Amino acid sequence: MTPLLQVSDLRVSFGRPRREVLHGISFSIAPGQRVGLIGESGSGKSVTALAVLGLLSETAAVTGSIRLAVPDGDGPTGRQLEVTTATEKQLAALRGDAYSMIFQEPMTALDPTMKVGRQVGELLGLHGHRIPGGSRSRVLEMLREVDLPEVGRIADSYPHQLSGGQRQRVLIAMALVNDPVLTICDEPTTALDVTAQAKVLQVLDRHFTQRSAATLFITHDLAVLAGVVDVAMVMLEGHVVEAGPIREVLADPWHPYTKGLVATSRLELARPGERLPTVADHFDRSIPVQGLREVPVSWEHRARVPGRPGGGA
Amino acid sequence: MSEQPLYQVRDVVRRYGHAARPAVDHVSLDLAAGERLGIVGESGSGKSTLVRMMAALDRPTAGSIRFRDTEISGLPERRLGFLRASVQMVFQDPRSSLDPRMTVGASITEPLRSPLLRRRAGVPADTRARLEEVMAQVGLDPADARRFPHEFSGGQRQRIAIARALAPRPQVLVADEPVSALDVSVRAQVLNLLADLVASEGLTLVLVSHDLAVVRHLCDRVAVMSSGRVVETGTVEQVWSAPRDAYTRTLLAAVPRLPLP
Repeated sequence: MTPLLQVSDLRVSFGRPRREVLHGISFSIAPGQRVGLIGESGSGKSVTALAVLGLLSETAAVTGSIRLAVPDGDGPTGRQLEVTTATEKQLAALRGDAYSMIFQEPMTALDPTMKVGRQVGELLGLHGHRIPGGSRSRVLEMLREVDLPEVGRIADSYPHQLSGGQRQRVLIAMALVNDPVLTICDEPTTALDVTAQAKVLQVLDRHFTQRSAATLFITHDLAVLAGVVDVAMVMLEGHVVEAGPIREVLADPWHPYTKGLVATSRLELARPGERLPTVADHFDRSIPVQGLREVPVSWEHRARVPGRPGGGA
Repeated sequence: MSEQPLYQVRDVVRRYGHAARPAVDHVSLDLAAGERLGIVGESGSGKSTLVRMMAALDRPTAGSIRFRDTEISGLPERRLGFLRASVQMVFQDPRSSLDPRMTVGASITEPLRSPLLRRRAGVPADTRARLEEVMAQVGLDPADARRFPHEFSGGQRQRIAIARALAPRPQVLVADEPVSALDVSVRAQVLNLLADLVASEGLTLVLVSHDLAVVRHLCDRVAVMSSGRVVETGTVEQVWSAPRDAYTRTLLAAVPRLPLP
């Protein structure tokens, strides 16, 4: 089957003189596949997400290839759009429709002057979908689908009248209202507390399952990722350093950085008062990072950087 | 115990404007010197409001807060010097709690230069020596004192905020979600640092967090808050392993965990 997304040797640099922040990453996402991207601040994960939908600023220099499958109303067409050379018009036809994105900060992603129901409805109109029963009923249905209470009242509320968790679920409703084949979730729960986070993760999981929809799920929190995705890439300093089925990566991490991340994520295993394990216990940052050349398209086998501990050649 | 608790919080209520229910609703608790108290709850449960009132950054609508047997809730700022010298806070987001136009050194020593704290017994007088001392204590290079906050990573900025809180040699450290804005990859380092400092300085700790696993690591007692009220208190181990309240159980279940190795 044609992958939905095919990224090959993607490099992104900013500034003058050019500073490369993404050093040639390659991966693909098949229809219905849930792919995780884990990394710390500055590792390049958000740049990857923005590049995929052609949302990087004009000051970014992008090389390599990003191909998105172009579906029509009936499903796959076999056509692909090369994002790096596509026009804004071609990209706009896909964004918010077949491909959508959920951002971290719901307060800045919503228009504070517009009722949230209208903001969800706008997305429907933008892509010209005709809805039996009108767009209002579809908006309410969508707000119900993300488990919001009293959907009529919420639809008529402004963003500031909602809690952080409710706002994030409105954003999710906007991202999912056109039934996308792939949703990029960029730290969708980082600004939320644990109870709101649990709700958001449950809503996303249910949607992806029901619609057999694919996701690229980005987070710095391995424990969040573990419950959502099937396969994962670990990103460090603009390189993918490890990739494979999430269960295998967690059970037996290969890269020293991943080992450190797994150890430090298990806060509850440390005895109270005991020193907590840190990434630095496993991974020496002074050793230059080397990336994988290519994450296997099938995702069936694990991929790692060959060589000595630390990821050096 | 015949000794007075360090803090006595009695029936404290905080109501904002015309809100339907108070942010903090009749909360009472004691804090003994040397104790490490965790306060957990979700956003809007009132936990931050409670500790801000304990640090006299906010005032109760009703009720009493006594620190070392002195009522603090009605005191004007000029008479709060004794509290400011003894109780220091670390906030969630060091991007907004540190002044971006001040050098790291100036931020850290600002409390020492404050007219309320300067020349007060117990507050270090030699500002430069104290700066080097606290920077070393939190694992920063004292030579970095001339740099600005934006030149540091999130984890390092939180170290700067901790150094600033330690500068006046407080007895109580109030940390409001000190690691929830940080990457998981640096969380453990900051928690280890806090644990070391609490032990080496003999600090009394009030730690606010939505994650009971974080509280469990640093505290011996915990109060669980929901809708402005304390719904459960106990030793951390007791609440962690056998929560009595239904809300506490929901909170525990909501924390994502990696499958066991």
